[in-house]
Amino acid sequence: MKRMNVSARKGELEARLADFKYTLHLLRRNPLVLSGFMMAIFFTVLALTANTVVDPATAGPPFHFERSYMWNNPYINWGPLAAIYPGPESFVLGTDGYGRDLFKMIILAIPLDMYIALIIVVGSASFGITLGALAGYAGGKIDELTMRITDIFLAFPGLILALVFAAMFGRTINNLMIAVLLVSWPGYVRLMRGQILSEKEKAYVEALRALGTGYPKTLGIIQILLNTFLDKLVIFGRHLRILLKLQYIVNKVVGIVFDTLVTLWMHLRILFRHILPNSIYPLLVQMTLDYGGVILTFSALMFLGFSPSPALPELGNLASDGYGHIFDAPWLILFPGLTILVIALAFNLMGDGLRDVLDPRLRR
Amino acid sequence: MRLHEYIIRRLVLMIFVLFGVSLIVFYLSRGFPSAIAPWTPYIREKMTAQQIEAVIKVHGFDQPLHIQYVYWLRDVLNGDWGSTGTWANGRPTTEVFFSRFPYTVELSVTATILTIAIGLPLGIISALKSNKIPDHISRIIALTGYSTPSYWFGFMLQLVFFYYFFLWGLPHLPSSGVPTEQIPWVTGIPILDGLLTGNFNYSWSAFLHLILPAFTLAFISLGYLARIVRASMLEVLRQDYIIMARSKGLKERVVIYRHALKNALIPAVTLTGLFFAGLLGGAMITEFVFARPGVGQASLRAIYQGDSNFILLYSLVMAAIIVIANLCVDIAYVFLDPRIKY
Repeated sequence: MKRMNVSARKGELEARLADFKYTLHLLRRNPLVLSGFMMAIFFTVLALTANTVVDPATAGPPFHFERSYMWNNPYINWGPLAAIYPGPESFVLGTDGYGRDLFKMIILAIPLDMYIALIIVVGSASFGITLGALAGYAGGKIDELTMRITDIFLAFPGLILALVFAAMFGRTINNLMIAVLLVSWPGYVRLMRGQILSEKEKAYVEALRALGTGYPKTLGIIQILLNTFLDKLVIFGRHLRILLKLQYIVNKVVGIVFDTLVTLWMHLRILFRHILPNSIYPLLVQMTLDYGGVILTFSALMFLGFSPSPALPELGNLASDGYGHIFDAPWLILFPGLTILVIALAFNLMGDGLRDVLDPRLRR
Repeated sequence: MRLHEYIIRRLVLMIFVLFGVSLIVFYLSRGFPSAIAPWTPYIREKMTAQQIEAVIKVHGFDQPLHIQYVYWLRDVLNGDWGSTGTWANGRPTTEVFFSRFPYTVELSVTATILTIAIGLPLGIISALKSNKIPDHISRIIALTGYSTPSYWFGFMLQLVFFYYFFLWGLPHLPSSGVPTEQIPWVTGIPILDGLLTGNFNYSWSAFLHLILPAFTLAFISLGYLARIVRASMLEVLRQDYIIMARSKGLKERVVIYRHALKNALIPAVTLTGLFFAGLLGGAMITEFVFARPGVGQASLRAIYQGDSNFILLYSLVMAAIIVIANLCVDIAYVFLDPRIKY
């Protein structure tokens, strides 16, 4: 807020800092959240350096998204190894159906899964948050329409929408990502709308409106300049009546357009600069919790046979390679699935702890 | 707004939702060139070219997509949901669906019961010992539950409880499928049918076949329930009337189970309705893993074959169940919590 004096600002800052320190204290006190954080950081680092970990001798980018799902991925060893060969004699986790070292394949699959999940979560969250914020703030018919459309998407059972989408549009990574996105955005709309609905009734929003926060000064100056220019024309012009009429029309039209734009701009500014930051925490928690869920959903799609290539190093795909050999080579499905479980668990632990810490009702 | 007005409003909205669902699924499953032409399910082996032409004309497959939708809607309103693809030998879609539906209902009912039986105590313990060892353990179980890939968990259960128990000479559970014995059809739900026809061996076998899939399904959802129970319990325990009850000198057990739990259960009780609906739709992967002949597995096969008739029926029935479950939950709130009014 602009008109707040310096000391008040300082006090607010100090209060926020103390709050933040208290949050950190709460997080530190909870060993599970801490271990979740550690695991998440570990997997992120592993994902960023996967290629180096798999083959330290090969120079090249540590992780390359485009290349990682190609057949000629140089990091996959297509050596003449025995297919389905049990662990730990020569390979840590044995070999898979193509004779590749399963341990290396899992390491290569982690960045792909985490990268895809990140894109899906960020994509669906930004779409859902924008839509939910607009619907909640606008209210009325816009709200009603948005929520009814969201209801339709929420009514789809389980994975069916993603599966149908993937089956019909073809099995490429991008289509699969869109498929998962289709299923995961409606939750954010609901959550964000609820947050905005309770937040926009608070007194500070009214104060912001009364203060005229977000009034674009440049637009006002342009309007004044335009009017001055027309005034000058009127003074020097010969066709006084026509010019006056023209000025009237120009002022009217410009006024309407400006008013609409300015009002819209001010509303959007109050919404996105002031209300949104105050109600975003539950959404961030939801994103963390969703991250694990998205990895599960995506790998489930892969597992059910929607993989673009059977040799793709993706955790669900590796597991799907193994379920035919469940009784004679259980490691083929055991280790990829376990990896998915641990990654998802790391982010869920983190999100769950964050929720407890940030929820004002559970805080003290 | 009165309650019955609210219900009517919601039912009208349900029609809107179902319409939207059918539009989206129709567009996705018919609008794109797939390997299988949309009229394939209607065509028999011995049809001549003219007959095929006639089938295409009757169902409007030569028309643009939006007119095809109208044709489909007309057929559906007349009770004709079309026939399935080769995966179900071209039998009528509704017959295939409703012969398989009881298996899914059986699975999700059992899973819901298991979810409540495990999730509820877990949540209560978690709240009572909040931030102590039991809370941490229960939190780990809950979070592991919803971080587990269900397909993987199902196979692991099969591996341990069927294969390894078999190898070790222990009594083992069946790995997949349902009992193959033919018994007269009463409700379609195997356990119930066995009991009703007096064939207890069949019921027992059906129950054994059910344990692993139901536990797989329940393990994933019990975490949510436990977390919700914990949160609402913690909130209730902090309220004034609990302090009042304690200061009256009531025993801690009475305070918790008589006074706190009743109110803390409101969100949990209503949520089980949503769980049931969600489990019905989410049974797809579990049924695939355990080779159970339910609708979820059928819909997967339909999707593989691009069989739009079955996908449409499946998603519409499931969407209707989800919407109705939502409505029931909202109505249940009114009766359980007198503070809420519509």
